[in-house]
Amino acid sequence: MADLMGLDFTPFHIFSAHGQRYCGIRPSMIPKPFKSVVVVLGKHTYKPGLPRGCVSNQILGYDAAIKVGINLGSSMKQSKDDIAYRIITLLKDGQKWSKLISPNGHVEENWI
Amino acid sequence: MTIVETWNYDSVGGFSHVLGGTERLGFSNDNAAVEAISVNGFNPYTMATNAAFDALVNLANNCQYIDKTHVSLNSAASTDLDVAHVAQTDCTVRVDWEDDSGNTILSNCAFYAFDGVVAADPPDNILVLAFERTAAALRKNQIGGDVAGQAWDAANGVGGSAAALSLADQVSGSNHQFWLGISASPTAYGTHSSITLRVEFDVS
Repeated sequence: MADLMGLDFTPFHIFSAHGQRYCGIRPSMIPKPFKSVVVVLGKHTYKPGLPRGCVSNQILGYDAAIKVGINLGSSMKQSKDDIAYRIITLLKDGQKWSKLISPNGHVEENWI
Repeated sequence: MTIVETWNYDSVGGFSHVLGGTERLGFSNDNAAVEAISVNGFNPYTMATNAAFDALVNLANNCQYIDKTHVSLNSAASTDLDVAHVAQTDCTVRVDWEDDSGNTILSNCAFYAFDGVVAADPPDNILVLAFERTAAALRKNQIGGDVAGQAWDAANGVGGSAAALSLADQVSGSNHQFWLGISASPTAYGTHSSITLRVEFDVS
C-alpha cells in the first residue's frame, strides 16, 4: 500500500471559456473547453503544444490533467517521477494533442 | 489530503489481500510452491510471493491464456473470454486508487508491463497478456485504435507502453477500481524478474 500526499494542482493556471482565471483547481471542476492553460513549475512556464502542420484557427480549446502512474515492481511506492502535468490541445476535428511535462521539466508531445 | 493506491488479490475474488512493499506478484507451475513455467507455456497458477520470489505468501486468482478468445480461470476448463463468462471476481488483481481530497475523473487509462527501467521497453523474455473487466464490458484492445483484441493475443500482448491495454475512462467518484486479468509466459529459459506492471491514468 502506498499513501502519499494529495495531487498538487497548483502548477495549473487555467482561463475558462468565460474568461475566469483558476489557479490550483482540479480541471474537472472548471467549464470546458478552456480558453488557455499554462503549467508553472518553478521559474519555468509551459504553454500548450500545437502539432506540426496545424494552425491556431484549428484549435477548439484546451484541457488539462495530472497523469499518474502506479507501478507494481521493485517498489510499491509512488515517486514524483510517476506524476506529470498534461496540457491537451483540443482540435475542432476531434483530435487531441498532448504536452506532458514531468516535475523535472522533461517534455513529451504526442497525439492521444 | 492523501492518495491511497493498492494492488489487491486473493483466490476467491474478494480481493482481500493487499500486495505489500515486500510481496511480489508471481506466476508458477505449482499451487503450493514457486515452480518454473515451461518456455512458451502460460501460468497455471498466480500467487503473491516473498521479495526473493522463492516462497508462496498467498494464492491469487489465475487467468491463463488459452487463445485470443478463451481463458482458463483457476485451472478450470477453457471458457469464452467475454462478459457472460468472466466476472470481475475472476480477475487476477484489482487496482484501487483514491484521492481523499475530492472526487476525481480518470481518463486516458492504460495498463502494461515493462522492463522496470524504460516504459517503452517490454520485459525481457516474458510475454504478458491482459484484459480489463469493467462493470459492463470486457476490454482487450491495445491503445491507439486497436479493435482486434491484441492485448490478449500471444502474437502481441501488453509489453511496453506503446502496446498498453486500453482501460475504460472512469466517471467522477471518490474512489476508483480497475479489475485486470493477467497471463504471462516465459519466452526463454531462466529466471526472469525484470518485470514491472504499471497502470497509468489522467486525473482531473
